[in-house]
Amino acid sequence: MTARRVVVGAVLIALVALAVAAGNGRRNATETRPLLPLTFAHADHRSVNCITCHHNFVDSTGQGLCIDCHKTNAKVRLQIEPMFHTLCRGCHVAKRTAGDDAGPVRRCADCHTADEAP
Amino acid sequence: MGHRTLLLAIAVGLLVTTALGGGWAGAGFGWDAANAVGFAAAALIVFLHVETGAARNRPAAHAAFHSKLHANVAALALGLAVVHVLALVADDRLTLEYWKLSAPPYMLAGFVALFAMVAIVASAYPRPRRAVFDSPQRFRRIHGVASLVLTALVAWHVTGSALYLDTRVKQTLFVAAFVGVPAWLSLRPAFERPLIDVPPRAAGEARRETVWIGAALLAVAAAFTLLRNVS
Repeated sequence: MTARRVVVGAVLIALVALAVAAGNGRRNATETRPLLPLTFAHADHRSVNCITCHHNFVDSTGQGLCIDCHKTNAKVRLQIEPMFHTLCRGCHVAKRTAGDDAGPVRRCADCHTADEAP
Repeated sequence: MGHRTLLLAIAVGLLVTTALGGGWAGAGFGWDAANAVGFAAAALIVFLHVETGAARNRPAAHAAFHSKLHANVAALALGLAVVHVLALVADDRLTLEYWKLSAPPYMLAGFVALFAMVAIVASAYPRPRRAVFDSPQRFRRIHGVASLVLTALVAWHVTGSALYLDTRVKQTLFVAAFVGVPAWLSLRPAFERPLIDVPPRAAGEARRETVWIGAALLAVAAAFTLLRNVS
């Protein structure tokens, strides 16, 4: 076995180890990372049916604030980013595509800023 | 087909895919410009799968131009990918959240693709190539497979972010073209692959051609950004 093969093998093993460590690290980082600040004005969303977001009003999946489940429940906490982005951004994109007034579609800071409106 | 026509066809084709069936929502000049530069880098990746720089049946004097062009365009693609990342951070500091392990998998795929691109490009220059690979055949095989993996990671990154490719139809079309064509090409023996038709040119002209390619792609990216945000 040449020295080059040993080096290539070592690099491959290191890459696999790195991937496993990154997978574990990602789970920990996702579960423990603090939520970003978020502004949301109910006044701007009066045309949207409440249960579009507050699904727990009708499906009995929980009570209280969204993050009471979405940040703590093991079944959904790793999905918090795609779930909320799909819900909010998806609706904004659909409205903007239809030519209606819509909220932000992508730029993070447009939503992730300290709350100012009720 | 000449390589300029081919490149523009790829670039425009990728961007037209994003416009199919509606979903024409601008995300702001900064975001759209940064992402258009990312699409330009993606177009170059497809181009590199066709213009492989391989000598094949070309006379040696002509083959040198294609080899140089492949190397220069690869460096340009890497540069555009870096600009794509930095421009997003410049426009919106919160995109730094996507640099963390807690980022969605499709964003991590983009970062892995970027690092893979650095490794693939750097290891293809003569000195590191000779140090890493014990034969030209092994280099070509690993370089080709790694490039296909890189292309698949970029496809995951683009379809996962889903702003421009917001339907399954668009995503399927994109993946079929973006990954399918290079994968199909990789299964063909070198002599059966399409030969880019270029009049004989000296190796020294590859740099000038790369500048033309970069300028043309940035013009397409600017047009994409304007159309998204002015219409």
